[in-house]
Amino acid sequence: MSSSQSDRARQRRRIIQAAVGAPVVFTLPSGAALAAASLTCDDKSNLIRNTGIGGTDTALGVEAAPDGWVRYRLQVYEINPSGSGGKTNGITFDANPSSSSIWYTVNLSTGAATQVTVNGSPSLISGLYYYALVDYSAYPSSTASAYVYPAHAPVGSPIAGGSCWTSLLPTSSIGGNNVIN
Amino acid sequence: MRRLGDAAVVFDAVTWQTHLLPPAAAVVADLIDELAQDGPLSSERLSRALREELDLDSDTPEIRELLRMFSEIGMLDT
Repeated sequence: MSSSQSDRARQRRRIIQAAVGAPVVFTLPSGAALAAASLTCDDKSNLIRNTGIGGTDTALGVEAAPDGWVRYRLQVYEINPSGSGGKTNGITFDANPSSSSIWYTVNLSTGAATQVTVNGSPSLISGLYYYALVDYSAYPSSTASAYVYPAHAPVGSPIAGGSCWTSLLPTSSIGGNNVIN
Repeated sequence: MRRLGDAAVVFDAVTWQTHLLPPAAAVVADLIDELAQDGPLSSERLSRALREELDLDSDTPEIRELLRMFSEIGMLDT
């Protein structure tokens, strides 16, 4: 054996002897398995859609309670729409409801919001809220009315979940739940 | 096999698994690699080389397990 070979053998033995325990091979967690466990937002939304975690297969524009989709919470007021024949519940996107001129009534069966003109001063119904579906593609517009779905038809591709939303908008925080305000 | 100092990393393109060889395992892998260049590696030849070069007894459970792992990830064909 040459001196370089014996040097190499000596070095290798030194490494073996320096090891704590027997030589072993470590297999790192499979990237494929991790990837499969890390669903994209679209997959998460599909999951909610298909299993009805949000309560329905598709998301309505406005709901009486938060569900699995990313929602914007709106305070409910008692309003007196013109020509409606009586008081009902309504919402506004205006930060100052007392001066708001744009009000909506909500059909909670269809999730549709209909703009109305109100008479008199709306009165706040404490503790009652509606939850409007957020349109990811329109967010963050400056006003909530521009990025929620008061649509008449159920929405097929909303974004679901707090972590999903945050991953799409990493500078935003929605407190671990699905309501952004 | 890629070196990381005295350690090594092996990526299996078939299973897409990544295996980390600490220095001691990397030394054994190097020896196997050298021996394999002279042709098919018999168990006897490997055992002799492990004993003479590295003072390792291939008949111990730990070394048998190491060699089994090398076979499993395709680094040893005896």
